[in-house]
Amino acid sequence: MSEEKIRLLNQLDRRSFLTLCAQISAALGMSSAMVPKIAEAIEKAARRPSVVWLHFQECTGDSEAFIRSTSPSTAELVLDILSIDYHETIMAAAGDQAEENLKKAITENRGKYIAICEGALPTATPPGPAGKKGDYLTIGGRTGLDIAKEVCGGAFAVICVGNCSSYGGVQAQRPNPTGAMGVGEALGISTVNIPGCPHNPVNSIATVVNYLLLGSLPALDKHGRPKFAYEKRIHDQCTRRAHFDAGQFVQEWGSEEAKKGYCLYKMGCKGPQTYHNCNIVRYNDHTGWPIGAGHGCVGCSEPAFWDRMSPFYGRLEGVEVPFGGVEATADKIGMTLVGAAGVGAAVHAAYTMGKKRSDDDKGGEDK
Amino acid sequence: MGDDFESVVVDDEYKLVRVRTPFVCLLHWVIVASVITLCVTGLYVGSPILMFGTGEPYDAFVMAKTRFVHFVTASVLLTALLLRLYHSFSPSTRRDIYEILPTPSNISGALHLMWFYLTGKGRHEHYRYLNPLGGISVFLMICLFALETTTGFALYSQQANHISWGWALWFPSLMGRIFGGMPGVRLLHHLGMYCLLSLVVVHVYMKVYVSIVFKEADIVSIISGHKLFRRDVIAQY
Ligand code: HEM
Ligand code: HEM
Ligand code: SF4
Ligand code: SF4
Repeated sequence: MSEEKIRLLNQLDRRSFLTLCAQISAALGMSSAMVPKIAEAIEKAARRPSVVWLHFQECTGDSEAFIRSTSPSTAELVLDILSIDYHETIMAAAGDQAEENLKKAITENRGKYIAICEGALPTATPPGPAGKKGDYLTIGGRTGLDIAKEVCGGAFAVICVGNCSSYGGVQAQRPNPTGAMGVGEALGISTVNIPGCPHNPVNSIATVVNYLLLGSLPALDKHGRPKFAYEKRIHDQCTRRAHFDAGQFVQEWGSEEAKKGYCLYKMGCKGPQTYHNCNIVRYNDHTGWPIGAGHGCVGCSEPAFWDRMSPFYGRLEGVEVPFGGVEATADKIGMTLVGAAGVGAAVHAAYTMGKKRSDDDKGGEDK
Repeated sequence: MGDDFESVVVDDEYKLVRVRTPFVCLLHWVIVASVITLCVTGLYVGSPILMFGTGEPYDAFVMAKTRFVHFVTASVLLTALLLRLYHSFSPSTRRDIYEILPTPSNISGALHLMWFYLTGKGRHEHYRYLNPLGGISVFLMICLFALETTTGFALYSQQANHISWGWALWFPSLMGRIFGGMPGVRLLHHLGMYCLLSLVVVHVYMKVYVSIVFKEADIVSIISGHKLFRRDVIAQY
């Protein structure tokens, strides 16, 4: 550890360090008895895991969430828990020097560093003769795909923070002009995904601490998400759930029901389809989360949520009608179907009744 | 076809023929009752508009109760369907699965019947059991039942992540993969209801129509298990 780091480490406030450890143990579902052990593991880690943080197609929201977490503060995060050797937004180096740092980090710690990815990888080839696969993202003259391949290939583990690096995010929404994909899908590797928009830094740090503590990555679900954070459904731990069960729903924005904090199901809340612990861990220094603030869940921790969870303010997707390409809602289609069947039956009945009357002298039963 | 059903003489012209066991009749009405219950509760779950009493949680638990009824009825429906399917296949009962499957002869029979119903041209055979058109519509209904139960249980197992049954874990993911995520599953579950309902409209209309026009007590056959046949027709069997 460098002189500089040790000096800063000594300045750390013990209380906030232990607060962090407590939060991590809670997120991991461990008892408070584990807090000292977590603190010990972090303090004793001979060399804090080297972290290379890559940016692809993204809005830096995940870095932003990371930096804004006040407990632990950024300084604590960077110096106490992780040794972040490359991070385009917060590192001091720039240009060639930055590229140098990256090279150094991935060669010196080959097979041991953790690659954290933020943002999706474009995989399409731009039109025109000069277009190369993945050209929609070029950093320092290399495509994002190229960099990702090299850096993730040599990493001990790849952690994807945010929905974009996990599953492609908004840029992978139909029609997806740049062929954006999650890192795991684009490279064909398995990654630890911490989706969310943004990710919750507590979950990301807890994943790393799990590694420090146990030497392994946490158990993952079928979408590559750590189970400790993504095993439970928003709807099942929602503070408005009693209103759902009671049949109390917000019918309109800005209404009396909305003021009363009724359930947002009819306003398009996707809590019933979404697995995340944002309602327990919460955002912004654990002060709030979307449904708490009065907005329905949009399913930001689920694959392809821009396509699949939309409309964000309606409960069911519009259905594309094959002829004419109009979007109709499920109910309209359904009513039309049932209506058509009913009308068909009525018309047929009227027709046969009329026909029967005219056929009557022919002894019509056998018709 | 087996002669294992007794025939009851009614009068010189008509004869009552047993076409179903009482158990199959009972299953039909259990299925009807559960489908109606599922549609009503499902529609409420999809679009909760009513509020009872003060609407406060201590006073009313409308949504929770409605969903509870939906889920219990779902199990009743599934059980009845499985029993009914067993009946269709079981060697100890009449295997009516051949009347239901869309075999080429059933399809052409159904097309002939459809042509007959629409234009009045052609011949209307007397069918002791399901006619080919009825068979096809039952086949479509069974497909929709399969859709409703698979998507329904996939949705159900989402909230059941505390259950350690294996299927509760792979089932939603399988469904999700097929139908484009749980919202897609939900949408299909919702649309499936309307498709089923339109078939039911046609089904009921056809039964009423056939009962009135051909005077064969077709509807009675699903209640008492007997169908009324003219003697000259029965000679065919
Ligand atoms: C004829 C059969 C059925 C019909 C017509 C039916 C109808 C519906 C409808 C209309 C909805 C509302 C969908 C929405 O807009 O969100 C629904 C929801 C649901 N149904 Fe069914 N359903 C049927 C069978 C089943 C079965 C067999 C199950 C199995 C357990 C099931 C489980 C569910 C579940 C879990 C939901 C979601 C409830 C929630 O979000 O709280 N359904 N059903
Ligand atoms: C939700 C509504 C309904 C469903 C899902 C349904 C389903 C079925 C199915 C699957 C069959 C064939 C299998 C069997 O023999 O059990 C059938 C037969 C039959 N159903 Fe229904 N049914 C419904 C409503 C009704 C109603 C309201 C009536 C009365 C008007 C009715 C009258 C009949 C009759 C008469 C048959 C016997 C057909 C024949 O032997 O030709 N059904 N139904
Ligand atoms: S607000 Fe959303 S997550 Fe909360 S109870 Fe209502 S539907 Fe479920
Ligand atoms: S409420 Fe839903 S959309 Fe909002 S942060 Fe939580 S999981 Fe994401």
